[in-house]
Amino acid sequence: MKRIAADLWDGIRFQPARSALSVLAVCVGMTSLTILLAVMGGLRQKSRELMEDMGANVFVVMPGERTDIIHGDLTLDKRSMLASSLTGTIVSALRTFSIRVSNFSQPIRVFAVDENYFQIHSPTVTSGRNLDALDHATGARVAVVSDTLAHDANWQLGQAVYLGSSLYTIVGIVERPGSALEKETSDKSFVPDNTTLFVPLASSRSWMSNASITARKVDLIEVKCPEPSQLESTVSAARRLLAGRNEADAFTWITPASVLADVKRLERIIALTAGSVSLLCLVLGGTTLMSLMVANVRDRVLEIALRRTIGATARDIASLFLAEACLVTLCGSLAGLALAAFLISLSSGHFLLPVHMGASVVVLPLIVAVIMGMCFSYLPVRMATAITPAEALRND
Amino acid sequence: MTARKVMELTNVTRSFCTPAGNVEVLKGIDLAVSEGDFLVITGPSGSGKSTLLHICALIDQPSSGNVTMRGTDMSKLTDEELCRIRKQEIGLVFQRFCLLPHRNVLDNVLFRFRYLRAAPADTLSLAREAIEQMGLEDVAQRQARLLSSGEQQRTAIARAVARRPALLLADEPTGNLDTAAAEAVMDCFKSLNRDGITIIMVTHNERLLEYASRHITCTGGALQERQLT
Repeated sequence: MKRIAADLWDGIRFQPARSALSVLAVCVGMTSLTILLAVMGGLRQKSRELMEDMGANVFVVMPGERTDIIHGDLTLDKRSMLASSLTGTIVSALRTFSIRVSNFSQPIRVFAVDENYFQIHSPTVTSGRNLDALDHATGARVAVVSDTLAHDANWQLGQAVYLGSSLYTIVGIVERPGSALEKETSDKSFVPDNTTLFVPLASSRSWMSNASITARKVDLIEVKCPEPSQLESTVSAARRLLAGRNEADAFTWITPASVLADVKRLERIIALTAGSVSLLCLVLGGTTLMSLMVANVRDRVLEIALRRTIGATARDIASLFLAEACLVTLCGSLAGLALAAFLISLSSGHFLLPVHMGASVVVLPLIVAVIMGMCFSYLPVRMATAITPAEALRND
Repeated sequence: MTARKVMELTNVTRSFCTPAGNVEVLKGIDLAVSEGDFLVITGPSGSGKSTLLHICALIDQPSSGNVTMRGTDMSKLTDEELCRIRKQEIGLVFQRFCLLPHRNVLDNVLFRFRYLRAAPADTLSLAREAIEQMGLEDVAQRQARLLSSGEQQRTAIARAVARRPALLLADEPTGNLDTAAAEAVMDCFKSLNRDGITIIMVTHNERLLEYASRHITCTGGALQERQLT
């Protein structure tokens, strides 16, 4: 082992700049591959989170995004119709507001939710209580806030705060009401996050325009089926119920399958585009490695001849150059991993796509590096083994 | 009692394909080298001396004819078997030293044992002995690239003889050295020969014949034994 290490070290320091260039070339390819794998891993993890957050038995109806038809309104009446027709389901409606509060320069997001909302979503109450049936029935001016918002605004339980011109009392603090839907839905105003505040739907009339009050409009209806297996039939039934005057087409239907399909589509697009770039980087890195190794073999003809004269077989020479290539690609791969991890941490929060540095993201590039080292060193290794000592000495 | 033959070449030819056609460098030569010989081969450039040496070193194959070492026909051996003989029986010294420049003298000499599956337990002492024999004790820890030409060549010789080969082959070992360094190297060869190592040396320099026990000239691919004066 010591002898092999000494040989490898000799090979590396024979032309240090050349070795560094080889490592750099592999590093670039491996960085792109690692980032691609991290994004793919992030998307897969996001898919799992989506299923967990949304639930495999929940679907969402939102106002439509199509511009070629007249959209129908989502109203409390439609919620009631769905609730009465879709037996065994839990149907919830909510409306969102952007309300100014005294402690914040920016308006905060207020979710006015009905009594069923927290039967579908179950955020952990860290202190106080959740909104209860009485709050919803009486339209009590009480609010539940996320722990982040309570911390940022320095709000305490029992504290009265002005939401616009209405005075609300904070009765509960909840943890992580955010949803994986956040980045998947085109309209983020319907998705709660760590700075969202929840109030009873019945208490929100003071923020609504007269037209909204008349129409009893809501921004979102969520339906939770008893079992995931019933989701498809329930969606079909809901579509039929809202199909009057082709209204079903006028809504956006978000199901776990549609969300997953979106994620999968995104995954495919990224795999094709970023994957092509990564592949190109890898091939470029590999060909750079190959050309530098060819130069190395040519410069080390006498050394090869010497090794052959002291008893090295062609296989020994092949092993030497293969090991050198694998070492260079491994070093490049580790450097690429470190660089990718650094870039990901640097762009944390600014990166548009989810990333996840799992075990496969670390191990796969190392395996690819070794395979790449073997593939791209094939030609230089063939050249090295083809050198006969007599010819090398004759041409010296 | 006649000395045992270490190497014998019988009717050996060697030709090369060149753009100008087939060039026959060695033309049916016969050569017998006995144990304890210090054979010096001289001749003009292109006469086939180095090719002959490469065939003796088993790093080149004759186009025709037989090469036997201690009675074994080399043409019947596989590449692996030839490698084994090279690492155990033959030491080779090059005109350009062929040292590993970043390794020190001791490591360069130890490199002789690199491809032995089971290096002898006394590897280090053999290497030190060879270094001592070449008078390189003072520079044993110095990197090869920092040595003078004479020291580099003596290091190369130490590497070649560390394993105590039966046959030491040298191709223009003094070609890159000044007179003093060349004399030091030749003294080393003489000393090794006295210790029983058979030497075949190729050179242009006829002044080195004073160290030889046999002299052969190589002209136009043919050999002729000369009487030493």
